[in-house]
Amino acid sequence: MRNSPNRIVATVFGAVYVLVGLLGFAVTGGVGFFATEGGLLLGVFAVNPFHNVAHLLIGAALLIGGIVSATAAKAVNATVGAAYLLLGIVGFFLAGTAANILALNTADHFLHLASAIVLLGVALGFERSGRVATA
Amino acid sequence: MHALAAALRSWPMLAALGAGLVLLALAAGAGGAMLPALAAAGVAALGWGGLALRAGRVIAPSTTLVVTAVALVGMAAAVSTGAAAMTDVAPGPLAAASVFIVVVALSAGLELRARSRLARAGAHPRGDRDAAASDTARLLGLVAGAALVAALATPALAATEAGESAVPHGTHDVGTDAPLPGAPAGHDH
Repeated sequence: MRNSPNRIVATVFGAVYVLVGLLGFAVTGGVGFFATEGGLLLGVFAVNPFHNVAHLLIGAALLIGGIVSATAAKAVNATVGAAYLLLGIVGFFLAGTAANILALNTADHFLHLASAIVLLGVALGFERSGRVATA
Repeated sequence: MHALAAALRSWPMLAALGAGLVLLALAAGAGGAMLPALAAAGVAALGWGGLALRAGRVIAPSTTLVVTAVALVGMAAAVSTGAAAMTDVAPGPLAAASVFIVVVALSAGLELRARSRLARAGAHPRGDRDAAASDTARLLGLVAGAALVAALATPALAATEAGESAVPHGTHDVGTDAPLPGAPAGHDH
């Protein structure tokens, strides 16, 4: 695993996202599942139960990809990174109409954007075809 | 020095991704001819960033330098002539996008200069730089670059019309699906 940047990033990000998803439930007691203003995780990140579930699913996918193989980690990193960026772009054009069902605030956007760039960057820039680590 | 160069190598690509996002967010709220122009520039920036990340180097540096210069001049002209204000393009996010584009332009210029030096020296344009680059340094550089891009892009995105028209945040009372009996409608702060 130490030879594969994709596995390292997928495992670390996956573990963090699963942890954040679990911790999120500690601050969202009484918050509606799709409430547009949620509890504050670590006093910074706004979350609601739907957001926690999304964190858990994304974290689980990354963690599994990271544990299984470099190829799987690369695929999950690329998928999650591209999906984050695409959702952000689609969100710009739906901003006036879409409900904020994930209870996002600025800190969340910062974290998601940075995550998307790292995940997409490591998937595209590391272990290109023929160089995928197997250890 | 090699480690630093390896760490910084992905920054132009990350800057291109940041530029693409901000330009597309500006396009979403722009009117008139600015909409297709900003959208095209945003898609081009995202495409260049993705392809360059995949290639592991600055691609098409000559074309990139020309296009980024044209984009910067166009953006400056749009602000100075008032065209940006007339088409609801905020100057702040435009400035942030310009910073990202300048980074891409600088990288293209440096790549051209490096190629020129190598050509004069009679060396192969691409030696074993890829092999020499440390994955650890590149990965750390990627994480640091992503944080920097997000730090500049997030407030820029929030200042676009798309960002401003998003559901407002910042007041984080614990919300519920339905208001309490007798409570006034809307948010309680």
